[in-house]
Amino acid sequence: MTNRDLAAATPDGGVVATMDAEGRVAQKIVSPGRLAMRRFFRHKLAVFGMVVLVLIVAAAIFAPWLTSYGPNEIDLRARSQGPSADHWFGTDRTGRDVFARTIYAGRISLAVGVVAVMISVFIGALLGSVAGYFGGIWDTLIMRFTDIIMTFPAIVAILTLAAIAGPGVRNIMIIIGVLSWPVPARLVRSRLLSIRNQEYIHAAQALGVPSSRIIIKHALPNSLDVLLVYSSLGIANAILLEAGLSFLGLGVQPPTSSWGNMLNVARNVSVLESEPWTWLPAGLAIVATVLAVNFVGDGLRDALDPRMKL
Amino acid sequence: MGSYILRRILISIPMLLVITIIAFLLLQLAPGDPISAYSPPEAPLPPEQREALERQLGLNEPIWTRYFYWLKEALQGNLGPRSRNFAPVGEAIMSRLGPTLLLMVSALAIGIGLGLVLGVISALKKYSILDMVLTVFAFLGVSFPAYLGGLLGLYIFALTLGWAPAGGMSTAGAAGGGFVDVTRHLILPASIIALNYVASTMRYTRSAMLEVLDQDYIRTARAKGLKENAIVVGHALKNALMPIITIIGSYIPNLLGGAVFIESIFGWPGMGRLFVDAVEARHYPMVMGLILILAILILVVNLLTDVAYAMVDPRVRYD
Repeated sequence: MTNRDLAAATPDGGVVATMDAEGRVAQKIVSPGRLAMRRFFRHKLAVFGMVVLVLIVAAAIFAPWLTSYGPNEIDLRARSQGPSADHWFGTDRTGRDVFARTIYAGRISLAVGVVAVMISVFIGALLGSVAGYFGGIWDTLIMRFTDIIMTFPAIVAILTLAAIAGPGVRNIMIIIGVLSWPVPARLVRSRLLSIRNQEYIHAAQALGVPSSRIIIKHALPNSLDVLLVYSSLGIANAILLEAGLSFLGLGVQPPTSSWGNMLNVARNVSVLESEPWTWLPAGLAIVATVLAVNFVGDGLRDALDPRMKL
Repeated sequence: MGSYILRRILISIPMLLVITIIAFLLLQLAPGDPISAYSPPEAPLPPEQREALERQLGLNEPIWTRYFYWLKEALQGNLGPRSRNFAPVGEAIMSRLGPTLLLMVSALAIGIGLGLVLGVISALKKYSILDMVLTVFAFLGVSFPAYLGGLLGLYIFALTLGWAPAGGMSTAGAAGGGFVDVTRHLILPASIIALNYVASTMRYTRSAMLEVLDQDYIRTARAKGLKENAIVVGHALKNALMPIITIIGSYIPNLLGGAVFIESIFGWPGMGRLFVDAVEARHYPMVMGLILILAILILVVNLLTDVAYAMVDPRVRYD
């Protein structure tokens, strides 16, 4: 550590003054990405959220090393037991270890969140860039359609589609992804509207670069920041939707555990009242994950563009 | 103003049609025998009754004919016949509309009322400990899904502490159904739905207030010696309300979505629970009817928010 960072003095400039051990001051050009990283790591809540999120993801990935119980291992001699040294979060009515189920469920819930957001970003970026780049009738059609989807309660549409397509992890990912594209589509569209008349786009057009290539090479990279922020908040939303759907019994089906279908047992009042350890951990896992993702998203937004409205 | 409202209503009609067409087409893809909702599985309908029902439901017609048939019947108020576990669709929905609206309006009133008050306090005492506590609460509030809030609320306040009844809209028997009784049943579910809206209304109010409090006319009001209360309520809040009204309009779809969970958890006899029951029973005419009513509700509320916006801000002109 010979250089002392004086970045705090020029928080938003691209130039950072540093002072070496002899006290000579030098100026250094810092890339926008690095500046954003710096702003992100100065956001305390975002860093806290990041740490919590890493812990949750690690627990899901390394689940087999964290518990000796399998998520579906039935032990009829140990039914409905409260938390103990053997079973940290107790057991459910078929004697399955709740701790094991909670961390294994994280795999499903997080995977649904990530895949659903990837689907929605793909569709949203495609439709948003077509609407923003070509404009005219395409823009009107696509935007009216997003308006209609956005006025309707997401959970009602998702429940209807789940009833039609049938439950299951894959279907849930697709349904949530397919219904969540209006937000990224709007973001990409408005970004494209603002850059489509800039010189480098005109230059590319004049050189005869095909539209698809202009969109992929120039337009989409310019939308990466909004898409990144959307992705973080979108994952939180997708996790909440999956859990809600599974809570109603129309999402991920047992014996596979997801945080939502672990809450499903609490629809039975006697379980809700006398065995809170079976459903509370899954509920807390949902809140912790969503809160952490929201903090990270907030930090990303502040770091990438403080004026961004999302 | 009148012509603006008329035009908005006319624009809403094609939107409504598109929603019903999409829903109708999707529901045609649903697997399963639509007739099965009308008879118990152990005793299928005799062929002639089955055929009559198929004709009545128009099941042998091409899909567009069926859609227009549905539309024609819906316009006459007939959304679908009685089925095994459900009253006729229109009747069933109408009987659930009141309870749902009661729950939604109460939740919205609690959410907005409390959210406005806390938001103003938060803005006046910005960066204080209280402001920070409220900010953390807001983050928690928006991250807390309705179903988890419902389960925790039921567990803590109804089952453990016994402060509120555990479900339903009124006590069974002669004692139930009065104003006090319904209110007692209403408070817990309405407060839980409100939680989300307290949090987000508070945040929006806070930032809108902070923006307004910086304006010159606030300084003018202070300079002429107006009382602080009059400045906050009469000058600042009145102007901060404008952006907040549009936010409130955007709550409606989610509010109705949240009803699905809360009504199921608390056994509230509303449309949300009816929707879940209909989806589980694969009673598609009911699903279709509920989607139609929901869409109408949302479009009406959107219109009302725009009108309210124009009334709060005389600068807004619609022509």
